[in-house]
Amino acid sequence: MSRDEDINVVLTGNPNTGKTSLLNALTGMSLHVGNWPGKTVEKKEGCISYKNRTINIIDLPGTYSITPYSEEEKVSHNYLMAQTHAVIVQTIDVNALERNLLMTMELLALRKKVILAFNFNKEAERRGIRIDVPKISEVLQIPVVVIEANKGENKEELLEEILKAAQSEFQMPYYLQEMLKENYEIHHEISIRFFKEKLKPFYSIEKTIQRTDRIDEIILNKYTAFPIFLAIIFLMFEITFTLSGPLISAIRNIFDWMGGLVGFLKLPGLLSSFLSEGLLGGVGSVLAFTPLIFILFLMIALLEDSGYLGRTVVLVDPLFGKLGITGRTFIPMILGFGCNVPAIMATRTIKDRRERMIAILTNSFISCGARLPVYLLFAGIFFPKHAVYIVMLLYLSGISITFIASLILSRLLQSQTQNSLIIELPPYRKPSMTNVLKHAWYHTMEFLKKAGTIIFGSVLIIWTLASLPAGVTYGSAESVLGQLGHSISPLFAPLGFGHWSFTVALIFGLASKEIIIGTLGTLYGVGQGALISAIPTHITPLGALSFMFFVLLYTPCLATIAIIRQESGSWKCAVLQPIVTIAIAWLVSFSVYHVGLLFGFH
Amino acid sequence: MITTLNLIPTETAGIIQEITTDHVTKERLESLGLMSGVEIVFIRKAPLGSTRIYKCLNTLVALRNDIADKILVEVPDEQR
Repeated sequence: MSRDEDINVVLTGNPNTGKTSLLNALTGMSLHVGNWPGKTVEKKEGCISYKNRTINIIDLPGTYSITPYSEEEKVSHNYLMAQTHAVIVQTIDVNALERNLLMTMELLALRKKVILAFNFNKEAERRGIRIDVPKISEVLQIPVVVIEANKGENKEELLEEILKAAQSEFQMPYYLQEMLKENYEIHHEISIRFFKEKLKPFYSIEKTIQRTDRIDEIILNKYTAFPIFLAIIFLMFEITFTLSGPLISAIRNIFDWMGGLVGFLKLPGLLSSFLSEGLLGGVGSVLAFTPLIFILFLMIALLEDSGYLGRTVVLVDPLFGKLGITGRTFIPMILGFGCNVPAIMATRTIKDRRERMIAILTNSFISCGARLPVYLLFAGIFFPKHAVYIVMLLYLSGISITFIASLILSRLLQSQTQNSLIIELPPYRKPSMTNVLKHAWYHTMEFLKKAGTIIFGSVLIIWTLASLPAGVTYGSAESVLGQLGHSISPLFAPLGFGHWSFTVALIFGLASKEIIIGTLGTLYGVGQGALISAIPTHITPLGALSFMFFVLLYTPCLATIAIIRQESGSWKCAVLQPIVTIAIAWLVSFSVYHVGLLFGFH
Repeated sequence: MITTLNLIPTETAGIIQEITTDHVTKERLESLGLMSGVEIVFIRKAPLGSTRIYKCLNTLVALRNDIADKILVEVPDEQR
């Protein structure tokens, strides 16, 4: 490698070893989050300049091994194999040095230049762990840098080692040759034996004061575990909705106000409508989502960094085990109550491919925040005394159908490996606010880029269909969309909402569910207030209940479909999921309506 | 004496002798440090279900019993 070439650094390490903190500390604001090409695995990279050298830093997924079994391990393995000159930096939680070094040995077996970044040293000291770092480095014959990733300590020292390693070639440590199984593989048992014989004298656990054990006594206690769990989940949603609510309304108001301004411009009708309904409407509905998404990701990052997330998996696992999946599905599921898009993105934490597919495909049955206004309006009009129960009924039905669908899918999708719960419970740690904020920020940006363009695009398509042929009133019965609604509305007559306006509203709902109400307002030519008297002239109470069930279950919004495509990596899923869900919605609404009729409701 | 991991009493340590799961599961356990020759301690039961939490190479690992009953451990007799 010549003096002036860029240095490629690959950052790797076990989960919960502070890899993300180190990445943040090293790359600063240059961090870029995306996906590995053609993969559903997250890719983070950054580029910095140090002593006139350009250093490209690529972050590999946090894994326990690079033996290629899971998709993340395959990505890591293939990338490492292709990078012949790269410097590998492995973050190590020194509290679990022995376990962490298993992966170091795998990297060395692949003939990689490895630098170890020892993290959580102060925590280890408190826990009574004594480490002779220079000796360990000497025995391993690889450089070791002591860092505190959260505080960015010893960053310079690490960069110096990176420069040094970049100048040199890989040197096979003397002990390694005889340990290799095949040419590039190593038995974990041999690595463990090596640790016991050669490294144990320089690493001792004197006393075992374990703060984590004491916290677990309460968090995982038979009596206190579930009350604490429910309180935390409740708080999470309470905080999310309390904080994001006013922000969402503010954003909506700003865009409504700007839409109103367009009216004063005295532009030609079509242009004016394009600006207010299409452009501003589109951008507005995308931006209105962002506070909710940001805060939800913030909450999840807090739970994850504190170590509690893994405990929730263990707590709910018995229930999920009965459905043929594991507790790992729980977090994506509850995120779905906010928005299905980040929820499906969060399925990345599910290691098992089959289980992840089930979580991706069933998530849209979880009633997202955008569907709530529809329930509130309809339940408020038709069941004013029991509105709360109706809304609860809908949410619980959504959860039940998610469970049933998971059960069916887990039977349909067979797996060669035993799908059981194997999960590390990391020590409880104080979350780093910088990390948590950055995590939320990057995922919100990713949402805006991916989902934003799609929501915006679909709003524009629907605007076009609702405005053509030229001269019609926006979204009226004469527009292309209105005619479409008219022609397929008989399909919904057996469900109790055969009036064409509901069909059109449901089509609009494909862009984003909260548009449904606004659409009905536009179609009846009335504002939000007058809707309360306008809707009952077109639908019966039982029809309204059936309609709410349909809104709960039918085809997810286009942003969700796009994210299903991205995260499943399969067009088949992205096509089948919307078709199957609309069929299920039809059947359920049909049953609700006809059972209701049998019992004499109308 | 030799028993399976799901049967050892709380706070008891055993040495893993053999893992009889399928190959992929075995690899996953290995990368978490669960392999023959390694000491494992049963720490606590999860509040519900068959999941139990173990300590192995100074980290906590949660396993359902359907995996733990495929892990053979030797418990030194004086501990019993």
